[in-house]
Amino acid sequence: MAAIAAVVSIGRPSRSTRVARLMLVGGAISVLIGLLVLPLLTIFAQALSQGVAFYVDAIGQPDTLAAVRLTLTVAAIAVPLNLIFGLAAAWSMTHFQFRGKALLSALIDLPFSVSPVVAGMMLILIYGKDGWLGAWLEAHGVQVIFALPGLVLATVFVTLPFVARELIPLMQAQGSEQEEAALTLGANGWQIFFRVTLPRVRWALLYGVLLCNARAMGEFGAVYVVSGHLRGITNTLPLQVDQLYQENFTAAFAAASLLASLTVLTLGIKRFLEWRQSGASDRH
Amino acid sequence: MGIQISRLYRRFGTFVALDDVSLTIGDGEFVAVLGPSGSGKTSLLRILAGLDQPDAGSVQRDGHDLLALDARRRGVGLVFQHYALFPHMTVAQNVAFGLRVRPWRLRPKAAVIKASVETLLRKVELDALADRYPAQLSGGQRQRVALARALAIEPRLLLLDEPFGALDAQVRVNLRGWLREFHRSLGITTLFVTHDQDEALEMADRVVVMNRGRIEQIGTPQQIYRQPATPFVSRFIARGQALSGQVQDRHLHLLGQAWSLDGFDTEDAHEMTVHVQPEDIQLAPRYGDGVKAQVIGLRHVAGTVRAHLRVEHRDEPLEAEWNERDWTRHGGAAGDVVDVHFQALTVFGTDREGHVRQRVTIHPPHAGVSVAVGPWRRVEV
Amino acid sequence: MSRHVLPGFRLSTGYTLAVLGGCVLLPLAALVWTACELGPSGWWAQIGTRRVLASLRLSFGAALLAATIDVLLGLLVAWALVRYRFAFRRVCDALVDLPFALPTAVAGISLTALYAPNGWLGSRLVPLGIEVAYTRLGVLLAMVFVGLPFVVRTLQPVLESMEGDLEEAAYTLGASPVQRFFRVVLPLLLPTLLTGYALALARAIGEYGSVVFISGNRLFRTEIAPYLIVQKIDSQYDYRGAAALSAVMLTASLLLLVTMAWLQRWTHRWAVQR
Repeated sequence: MAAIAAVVSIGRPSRSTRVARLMLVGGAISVLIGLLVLPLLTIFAQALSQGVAFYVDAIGQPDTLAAVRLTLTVAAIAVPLNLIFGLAAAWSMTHFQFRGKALLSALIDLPFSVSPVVAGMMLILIYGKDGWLGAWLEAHGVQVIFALPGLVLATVFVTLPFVARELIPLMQAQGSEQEEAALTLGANGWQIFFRVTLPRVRWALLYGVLLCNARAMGEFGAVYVVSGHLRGITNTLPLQVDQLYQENFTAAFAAASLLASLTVLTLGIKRFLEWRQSGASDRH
Repeated sequence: MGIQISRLYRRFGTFVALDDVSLTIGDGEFVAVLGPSGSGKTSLLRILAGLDQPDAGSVQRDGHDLLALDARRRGVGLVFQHYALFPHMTVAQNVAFGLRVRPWRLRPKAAVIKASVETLLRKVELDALADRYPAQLSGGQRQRVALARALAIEPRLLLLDEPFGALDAQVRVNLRGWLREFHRSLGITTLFVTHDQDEALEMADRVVVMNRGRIEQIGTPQQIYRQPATPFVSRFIARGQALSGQVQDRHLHLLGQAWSLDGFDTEDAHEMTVHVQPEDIQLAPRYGDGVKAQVIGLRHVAGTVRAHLRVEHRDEPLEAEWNERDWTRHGGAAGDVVDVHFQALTVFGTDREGHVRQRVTIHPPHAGVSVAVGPWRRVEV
Repeated sequence: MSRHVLPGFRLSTGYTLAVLGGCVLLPLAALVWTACELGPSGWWAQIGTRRVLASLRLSFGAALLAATIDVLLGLLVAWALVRYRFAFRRVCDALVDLPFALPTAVAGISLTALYAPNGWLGSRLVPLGIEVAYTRLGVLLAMVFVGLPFVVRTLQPVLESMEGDLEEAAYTLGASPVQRFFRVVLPLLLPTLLTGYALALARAIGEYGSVVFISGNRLFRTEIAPYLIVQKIDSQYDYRGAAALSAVMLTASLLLLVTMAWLQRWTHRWAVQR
């Protein structure tokens, strides 16, 4: 803890406040290391515990590669859907006053507080064999549950609030004045959106998309319920990790390390974006 | 022809922002809408710009319904209070915005846009800063960018929301004169809202005074200042101070003096309000003549002396404004008792609803008699 | 006459409502409908078994405790990150988001590997008599893990906005550091702390992936409610039982959501006053 250089916030630092500082910062770092860093390191340590060759081989398994492809496909559909939803919801919630707005806001938040497992359950009740739309879907030869559409629906549900929640506070803080200025200058709706609104929220938007993507690729509970775990067919990467975990510990961690790398990458880009953003706000 | 605003109403919930507002603005006129915050002036501006719709009433421009046009086709330039410059665009891009977003059939060629942006920036004296971002500009420069941006669409009506509200006092005063000249050179019909009396009176051809959603008075700066139509205008603009007295035999008895209420129908007035302006409270030419007042505070401001006076029957001090030279000759200090004359009083008669029905300016009982000029001042009668 | 001056009201609101209707309201209605079909006695028949009650007790009990621990740890971390400048502060700040972004299943297996009796920490803790993996303590640990960023991220902006003036005001009025914290900072942070608590609680109650590996799913002892739902769907095809249990979880989520909306208003009121 010698590297800790606490900054004087108020008053003259007495011995006791310096000790307090050291304890606070030390405590916080211990919490972060014990609770967050160790599990992260464990993943990579376990993945490589049987050597690099084993690691490469484990990732190269056809089922694992199929899981990676499926995960990418699901994210490629779900993330753009939520991006558009987030933009529409933020535009509606921040530029207009209307009845039921508070209720709408609560509905947008709902997926955050619903258990992913419950989300999957609800989808089964609608699209499952005995569900509301089950018979109709079967008659038309559409399979939702235990197939790609089910995975996408579950992922969309779970990640629905991410982009909207990132944009709404920012756009609320920015107000409608610039959009109104653009309007009085003759811009139409799309011109206002693309030339005025979008450039101003681009970093927040990117950040929201990033988190949404990380969650979409890593979603487990909701997807677990609707997937059916058909190896090589409806197993996304997290589900593949789960199945491998029962059979081959190290291979499971190898697959998990891919997801963990994605996480580290996401957090790294987020940090970079925040740094860019603070740089941009200096300029603007 | 100009712009006819007639009988606008606008309420937000229970708050009445505009209450029967009618106003005609002539072509090329420079009009100030003056009022305290919450008086409805910004609501009026937003309705004219097309950013809000009234509950009732009409706005016509040259006989055409302006309200039927949506904001983007209205040809109204609006300069926002905090400018609302696009932070991600340079000064030149900000100014060019209104031209670049036109439907492509009406959009000028890039070279034309560039040329007109340059012309505009020269006009607002910012041509050297075309490639800066708004955050790199001072407040006054931002304001001029916002002005150039609004002018780029060649508006037929220019609206300015508290144009100097966000500026430093010094910049503010400099820009006033600049904007006045700028308007003269362009000749665009311009309406600006402000809560600053000096600003409105100094710059505008005509001033519209608003309070609680209603227009209290419309007139030239001189009219507004010298003949305030309502107690509110008198208080807010002419610094009118209320005095209390009794009415008896068509005379107003006030601080031991009787004032004739000729031309005022006391029977008709439900309530009467008497105001005096600071510059109408003057030092009496002779000792022992006039109303006794104790000087409780003195402030010297740029050639004038502002005195706080304690008089009978009034809890709050009265403010008087004297010429510095006069006060020096008179001599005295805080705590002294001096004799003052009220040179003019304004009497308002209001009906039961609080509407002003009558207004007269009355002069002191000794006016015309006591023209005697002291050794140090002249009394104008 | 439309008061919506900016364009796009119908398009944006319509699209938002359509997506919410299809993706959120419709599934919600399906669950409520199915639960209602059961009727109170049918519902109790599904919920009232020893196994289900044990799982609910564990889920809610551990989540309440975990959220409390999160508030304490989160306050410590947020305080250190906002108030002090130290080496690797930015890295630490980025790390806070880890449980947000790390897939739950990955977190689950790595926590298990770490705390298992043969794991790096487990092999050191078990001789001391502390068993984490496959016990209720493990469930608690996983729930603390997933809830931490909610508390830190809710607190950070509020702490930042409070920096300086308020405490300096208290300082000039003669308050000691301890008084400044308990009389000025803590009361102001209270609604935010409660919001963070509610968020962490909601996440912990519903969490599945991080918990099921380390809990070991021992009958009556470490089975959490979401695990039972999955079990009922996956191996017993008992959709009614799963729906009944889901309805309980959903009710808890909705209650928390209402609480959070109320807390937000509380926070807001103070914000306006300041």
